[in-house]
Amino acid sequence: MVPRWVKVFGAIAVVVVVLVIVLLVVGGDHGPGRHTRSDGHAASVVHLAVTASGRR
Amino acid sequence: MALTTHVASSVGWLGAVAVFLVLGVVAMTSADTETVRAVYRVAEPAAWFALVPLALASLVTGLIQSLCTTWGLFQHYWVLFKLAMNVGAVAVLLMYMKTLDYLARVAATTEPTGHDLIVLRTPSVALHSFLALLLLLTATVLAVHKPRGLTPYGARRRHG
Repeated sequence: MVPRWVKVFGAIAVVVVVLVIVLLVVGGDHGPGRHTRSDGHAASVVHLAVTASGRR
Repeated sequence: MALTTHVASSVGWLGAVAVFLVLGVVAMTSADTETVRAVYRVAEPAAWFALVPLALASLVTGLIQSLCTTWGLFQHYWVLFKLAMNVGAVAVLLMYMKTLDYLARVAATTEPTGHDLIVLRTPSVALHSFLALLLLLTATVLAVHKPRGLTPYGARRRHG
């Protein structure tokens, strides 16, 4: 018979693992690479952020 | 000896992660650019020479400790959960070192741009440290209380 605490821990572990996999798959670039994307997306977001903060 | 080393390295790892949480929050919130840059100049070597060795020592001594005692590695659920948490945390830490190396390189830039400073103020380090702290605290609770529960393999070994 599996103790209740094992079921609770197991359920939490499954949720965490699924969440991590979803974040890795849906989130795309995870890690330092996302700061240095070559498509200019990161740079334009940063530019917008800097511009917006400069207007405040 | 293995138990003492395991407890020392695991608690040391927990403390080191707590320091990284503080460093991450400082980098995220400090208005002083030099302080933000200093965080990552210090964080990278601290991670390579304290965090990673402590994490690996905790994993290796935990394996030795369980294999060389009656607890075994796969016989009790609490040992199994601790092993999974430890392996997961070490794997994430080793992968995350790439991010810390990158942040240290950005921090070392002679004249950081606005983009560099935004990168350095990332909440990523604080977030990862916070989650690691939760995980390691849970592992500590398991180690202290050793909740009952034999795995099917453990039950077979015990009764078979």
